[in-house]
Amino acid sequence: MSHRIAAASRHGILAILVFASLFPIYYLIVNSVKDPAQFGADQWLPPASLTWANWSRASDVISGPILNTIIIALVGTTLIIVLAALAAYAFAIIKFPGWKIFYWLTFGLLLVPSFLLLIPLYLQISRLEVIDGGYFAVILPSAAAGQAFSIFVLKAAFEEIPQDMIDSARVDGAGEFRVLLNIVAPLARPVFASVAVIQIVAMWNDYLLPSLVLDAAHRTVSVALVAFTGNPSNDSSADFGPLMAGYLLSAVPLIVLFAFSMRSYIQGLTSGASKL
Amino acid sequence: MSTPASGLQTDSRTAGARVAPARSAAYDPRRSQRRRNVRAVGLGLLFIAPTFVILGYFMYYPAYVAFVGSLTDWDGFNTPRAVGLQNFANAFRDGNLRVAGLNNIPWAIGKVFLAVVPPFLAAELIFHVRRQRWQYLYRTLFVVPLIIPGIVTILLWTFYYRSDGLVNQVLGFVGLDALQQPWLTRPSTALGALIFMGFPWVTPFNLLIFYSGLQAIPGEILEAGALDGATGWRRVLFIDLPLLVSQTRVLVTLAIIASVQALLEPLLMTGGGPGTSTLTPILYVYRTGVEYGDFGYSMSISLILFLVVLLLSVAANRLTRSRKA
Repeated sequence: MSHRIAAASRHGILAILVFASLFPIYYLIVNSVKDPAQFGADQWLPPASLTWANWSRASDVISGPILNTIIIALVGTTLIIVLAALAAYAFAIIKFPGWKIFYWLTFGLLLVPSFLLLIPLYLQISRLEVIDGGYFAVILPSAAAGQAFSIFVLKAAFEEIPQDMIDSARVDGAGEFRVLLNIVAPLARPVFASVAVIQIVAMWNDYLLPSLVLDAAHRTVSVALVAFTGNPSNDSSADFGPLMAGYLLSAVPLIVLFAFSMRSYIQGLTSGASKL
Repeated sequence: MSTPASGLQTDSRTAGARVAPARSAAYDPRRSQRRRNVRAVGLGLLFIAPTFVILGYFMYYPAYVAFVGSLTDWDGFNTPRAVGLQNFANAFRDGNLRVAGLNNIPWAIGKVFLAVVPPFLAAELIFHVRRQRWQYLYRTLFVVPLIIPGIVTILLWTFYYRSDGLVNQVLGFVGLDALQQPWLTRPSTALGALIFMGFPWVTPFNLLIFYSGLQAIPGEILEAGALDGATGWRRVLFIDLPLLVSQTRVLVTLAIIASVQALLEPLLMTGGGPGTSTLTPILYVYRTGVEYGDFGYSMSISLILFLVVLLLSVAANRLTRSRKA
């Protein structure tokens, strides 16, 4: 009997916690279709009539930045993966004399917090006219920032590939690039997937550097959302409906991404942490 | 594309010999070894070159600039003027920085508590649900909020804390009208409001770390513990917690590092105010650099913070490690 009460109370507490965790999503949905009067009257329940105009206004403001962020995240992640795979291959498979020095040089970067580099990067990029304001002003520093973690994870994965497979490919006349492309990369595909998702999510959520170095035409979604919101702590009434619709729109690409790769993302993160 | 045929299996030495084949009949193993090494170094450097080009320009060089710049008076445009350790001396006398540092202490304590306790309790609750299918369902549901971008959470909580926001409405529902107030614009409540935003604080990542730690506890230990009367709460305290020390250590370290880097919440939610009540050291770095253009001073504070982060993470590791021994 007491067992059953305990089990029921566990489910009860978990249900409350789940509800509270998911509440922001519900809140965004119901309030994204309210006009200002409906929002002022009630923020908890779905409205009697739906104001779809909020969504078209939000999409006018947010779809450009969403596209920008997709470009930045995809190009940046591709760059990270290609560079990190080459370097991880050199550290895990070629193991050339002296590789440890370079490995520790990259590994040590995990200790360097991003805030230390923020101001110098901001100064450096704003003077570099070739990239200042454009996509590469964020892509290149993000690619650099993602290297240490990605090399660390990929190196560990490459080292688990049986040496015999690599050796026999070499005997068959495959050069190192071919070995990486044809043997190592296909075997490490799940690890590539989780590194890619982790980097995409990180770039999607990044705010600081993009807010400092991108011009208005290349804004990412985080920067655009903050600009769209204005000053939220100000108690004057804002037009909330379009804001909530914009917040939801900014989550759509992440929903699509997670629908395919939630497992890779979680496995990558948790296995990375267990190696710390 | 080759497959590992058993006849072709070789060890790494003979495979290397293929790369640099011995040409003369007078085979000199030491010479060919050296040639192979030179070749490997060349190849290795070729493979790491792209990474190091980009790291050099976007990581090492800015780190160097931060270090050297901290010893200068620099507005970012004119030539920096060397001032030695003057910036650091100023930093230790800077009242704003002291206030910011003091604000960071309850911030770090609060954030560490929230990073460990709610996710741990949720993990325990899920783990004790009998049906596997329910466990899976709960885990999945707790992970779903990851789809909300971090910036949206911050902006939403800014709305929740307004005087007409949800927090005050909930207080009204439960009859605590006396507590209703504009949380972010009162010096007495702003810092606490920033620390405790994000209810119910079940961070998906931390939850999963604890949950997989619980799954890894061997059944024999639990059975032996149950014989000794360690069930229910006693089991949680005397078996689960000690066995999850390494997970806790990682999460505490990450929470400390994150709390010293707390910039977005104060920057976007309160601007560090009212007054200096939510000013954090990293926000102060941002202000002196980006807003006031005092880059030399800004870099010197960020270097001090970097040292603090290093020391704290070492300390967090030491403390939890000695408890394990």
